[in-house]
Amino acid sequence: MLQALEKLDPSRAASVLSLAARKFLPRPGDDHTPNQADQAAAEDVIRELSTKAASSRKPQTEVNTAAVQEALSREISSYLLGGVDSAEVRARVGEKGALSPSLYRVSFSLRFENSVTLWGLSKTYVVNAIAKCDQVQHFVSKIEAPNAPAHTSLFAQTPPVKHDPYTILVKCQRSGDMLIVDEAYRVYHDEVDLIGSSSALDILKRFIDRVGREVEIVILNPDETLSQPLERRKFFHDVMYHVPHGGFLINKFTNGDILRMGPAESDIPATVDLCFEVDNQKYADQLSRHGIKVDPKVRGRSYTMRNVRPRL
Amino acid sequence: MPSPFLYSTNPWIKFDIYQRYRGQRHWVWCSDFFDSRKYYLHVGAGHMPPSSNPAEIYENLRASTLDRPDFHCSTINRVKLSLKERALEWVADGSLAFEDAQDIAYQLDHAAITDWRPLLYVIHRASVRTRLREVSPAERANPISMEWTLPDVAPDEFDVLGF
Repeated sequence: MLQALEKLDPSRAASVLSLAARKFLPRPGDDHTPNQADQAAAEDVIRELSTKAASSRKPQTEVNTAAVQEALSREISSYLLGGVDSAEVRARVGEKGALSPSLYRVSFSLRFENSVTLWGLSKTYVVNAIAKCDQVQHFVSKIEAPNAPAHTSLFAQTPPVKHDPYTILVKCQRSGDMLIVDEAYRVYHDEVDLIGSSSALDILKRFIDRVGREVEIVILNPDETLSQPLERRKFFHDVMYHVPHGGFLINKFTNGDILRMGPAESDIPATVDLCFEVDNQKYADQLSRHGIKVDPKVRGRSYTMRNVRPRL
Repeated sequence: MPSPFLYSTNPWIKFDIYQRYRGQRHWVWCSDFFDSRKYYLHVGAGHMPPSSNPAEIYENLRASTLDRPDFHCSTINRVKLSLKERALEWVADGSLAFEDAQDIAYQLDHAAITDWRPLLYVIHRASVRTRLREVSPAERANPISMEWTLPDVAPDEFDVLGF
């Protein structure tokens, strides 16, 4: 810690650092009038940093200013993050979706591993598509709950190929600074019209429109009667349902899989963040038209929902 | 007649932080013209210096982040310091949790260089006219250039371009 800050309590140290930083930053209309003691302490901070910078760099004013700005920036970080477990902060930032894609740790789910013959993409391709993605979307659910599953992240990358252009689309679960890859697809541009697509979610929607199957969402009362009319579509995203106390939220996939969540512990809203099902045969046909053979006989469905407790 | 739009160049990470922690309301330093080197319809006060001309800020930041990464870019260092200082200020005035300030500092310190790529804000002047604050001549890069700050431009008052 800088000597100039050593004897200050934390909130005063923050105020002095802030004041020192403002000396380097134009701030039109800043009517903040610091007290003289803070002003003097801020000047001490700058003097101390300037002395350190001068001893390590060329004594040119311009170089010194840049060096002092960088040192001040590091001091503010050290004030905010000193003594904190950086892994914990990293996980928190990752959970928010605020880490750079290349900083997330990447692993592969059982679903990805079990269907590895379907994707037409190696793990190396997938990891590269995440780290060097063209588009990323980190979803944060409207609802939080202790038992909620991980959030979803989508990545899209269009490799620079000369012929037969395609986009790699990767869907992951995001837990802290860890991405767990569930699915990855090649979306060929002559199969799915991506012109004007505005986001990774938009690409996924267009892809599912071509190769998706309709899935069904059913909300049941505790006595298993319908609580509201069932909904059937190819793509659910960010849809909120009211699940009655003791009721259930059920996802039905055409491959026979049924996902039953509940009974709800109270009258609660539940969100279906993302729900779709890929027709593996249609996907395999799309790839085979581009010379890639994959095995469509794996079971595939995809969903992320939150705040409904699974039945024990 | 002044241009119906105002222009401001900002790094993507600044946009992200304001979206995430400031209720999508953005503090910006803006100008009447995108590029004071070329006037077509609305004529400006003259040639703005590179450090306050949105087009040149954009070009330079794009070069430093996407074309020829510059890990000692002075604009990046200045904006980084400015955002950390803002985080301290927001904690002090109670509008940001200390934990969020930690997360901002971590995000800034660990951002990839591409997270500093430029974005151009195109602001609808009529929507923000009453909240525009003129930058005093002493604080402008050039005393005759037209520069403003806006403390809280909202999503329905501006559009964001990246090219």
